[in-house]
Amino acid sequence: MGAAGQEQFSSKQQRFVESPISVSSRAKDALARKAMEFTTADFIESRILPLLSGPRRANSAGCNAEIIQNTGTGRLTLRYAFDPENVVYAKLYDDELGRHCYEVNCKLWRDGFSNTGHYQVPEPIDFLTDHNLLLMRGVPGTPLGAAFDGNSSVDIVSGSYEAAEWLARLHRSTLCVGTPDSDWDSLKLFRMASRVIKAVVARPEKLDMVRELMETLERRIVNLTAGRSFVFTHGRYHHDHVFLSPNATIVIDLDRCRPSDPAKDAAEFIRVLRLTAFKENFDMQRVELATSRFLETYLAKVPEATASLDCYWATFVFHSLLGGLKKARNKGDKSWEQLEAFYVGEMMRALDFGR
Amino acid sequence: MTRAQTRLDRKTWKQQQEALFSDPAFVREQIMPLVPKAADVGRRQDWTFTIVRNKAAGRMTLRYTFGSFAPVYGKAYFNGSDAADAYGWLSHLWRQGFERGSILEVPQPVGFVPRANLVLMRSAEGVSLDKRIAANPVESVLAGTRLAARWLVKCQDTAIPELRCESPCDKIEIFTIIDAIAKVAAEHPEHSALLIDMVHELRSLAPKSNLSPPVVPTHGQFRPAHVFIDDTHVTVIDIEKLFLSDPAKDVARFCYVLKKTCLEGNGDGELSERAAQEFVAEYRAHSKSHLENLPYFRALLALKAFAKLLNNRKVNETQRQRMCQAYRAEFERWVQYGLVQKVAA
Repeated sequence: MGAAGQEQFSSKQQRFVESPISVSSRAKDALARKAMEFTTADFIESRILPLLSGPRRANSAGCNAEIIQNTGTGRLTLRYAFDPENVVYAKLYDDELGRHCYEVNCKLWRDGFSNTGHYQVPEPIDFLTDHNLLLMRGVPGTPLGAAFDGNSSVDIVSGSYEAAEWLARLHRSTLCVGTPDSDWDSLKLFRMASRVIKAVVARPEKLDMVRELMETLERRIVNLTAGRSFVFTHGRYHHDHVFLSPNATIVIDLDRCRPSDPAKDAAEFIRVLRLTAFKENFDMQRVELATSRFLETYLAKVPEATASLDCYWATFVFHSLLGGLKKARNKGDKSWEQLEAFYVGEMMRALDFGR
Repeated sequence: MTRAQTRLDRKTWKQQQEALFSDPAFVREQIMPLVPKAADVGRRQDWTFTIVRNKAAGRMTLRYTFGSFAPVYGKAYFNGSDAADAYGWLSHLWRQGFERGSILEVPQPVGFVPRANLVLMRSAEGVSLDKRIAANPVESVLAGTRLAARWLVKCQDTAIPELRCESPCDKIEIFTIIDAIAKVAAEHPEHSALLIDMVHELRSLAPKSNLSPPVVPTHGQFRPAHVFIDDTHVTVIDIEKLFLSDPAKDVARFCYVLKKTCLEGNGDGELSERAAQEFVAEYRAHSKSHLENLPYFRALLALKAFAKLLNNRKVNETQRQRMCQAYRAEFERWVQYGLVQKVAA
């Protein structure tokens, strides 16, 4: 969940989960301490309000400022609600990605993703260098993922179509910010190594299965060539980052935008969508339709992604399988055995894609 | 096809080929015409056939002798395309300045038997560098490593038509390392935290991008046992895994095998270290490559050796401890060096 998410969704997030003395816990505490200053009236008066001049000028009186997300990822999200029409989100970073995100956000806003078109990004306000704090307008609409929470106003099929259109526009844009992704980063292969270790330690009897699946993946991945064309990618393209409304489709969380293989975003989208649907006992026939609609719409405009979609899709599912193997827990009314069969089936489906 | 099926297929192939290669009719019809002088055009009866090496999966090395003539070596491959590539590359390098008398050489190609996936070549003259290290004075060893470095630079500078580019993920050998550590972790969970830390450290050294640095023709198996020194001549064998890839891979592998051979044989560690340094210095003196990923590949090979050793039942415990410590120290050394190099860059 990114910075500009709606309140209804944000409220589902954990706010201050205390955990032992882990690195992420220490980082989380440090960010939370730092962020307290940003909720004070002084800070809002002196640093936020001057940026909100013009027709949408806000008033500090009654501004409700709160931390809405801090999950130990090195990002903390604040929400400033001046009035229902005037909501500002701020994202505090513990690394250099805040500045990068602001640069990307501004360039996309200027490059056709502003509120004058249907396919948008959040309106950037400013980046406070001294605080490593990114400010942007809140976005209207409902996240596509709300469909899995029973929100009947969101249709998973038409929403997936919108998500595909937005993604195709991004991938066809001429924007280029950041260094090109390597295949080992975009496929998260070093993380795969750690996950394999954890999975086979927890379930040594699954070693042969893990190795066979990995070998199958490897045979595909070695066909990826170094010089294939890259596009400007989102990097975290999930249904929870796609906000739908009658007038706009807006995508948030631009932290990881960089040149990469286009299949990365498309594969991540369908992996998360289908896995969430399965875990949530959603109507899988609708999800099949949503998958087809997404892929047909997107691949018609970015056909070059077809060549590597099998690799990315199958690899991302394999990551999920490894994560699940480690815990081997039931999810909802799905047993681990059902989940494992689903993961393996999804991998095979992904590998069959386009053949 | 599964691993087990592949293994079975290759085993069957080897059994069939062993019978074929020693069959007098095959030797008379396929081998002798390629070496007419030595074989006396099929009339000679005093020929011999030996399998020199049969360990590697999917290939084997053989030797034919014909009386007192110099032996002819054969390399047989499970895959026909591997055989055709090997013969093509060997012939190409021979024509591109690696012929006999050029100081930096490859074995002379003799012929190719397509129906048996068999490449025939003359023997490499001299003593392989691994044996030379064990038995020769320091200066002679260092001179040999300098020649090896110059051969490698020349090979990496040679244009080889239609040479395949190693894919980015193959180039960094990430799947090899995952597979090695998966096996160890399943059997020795007590090492899992350490292995995860080592993977994280390795990642910090990974190349910047798919396209960095520019690729060159790499030998793929550049190790002291494949480098034959004869006074001032050097002949490098096993021209069969050529790829366009990162130049640092060959350099790292050569240095790593020097260290490994020394560790396994309780050899002179100081000499192997000095030989590696001499090799890298000579390489740098003659090559345009910056070897920016040398720390990554050195650390990778040390980690792979470390992981394999943890699962190796053939090594006694004392030796395992000693070698594990050495590989771990080697890994840490290259991680530190690599990080310093990255900061400086």
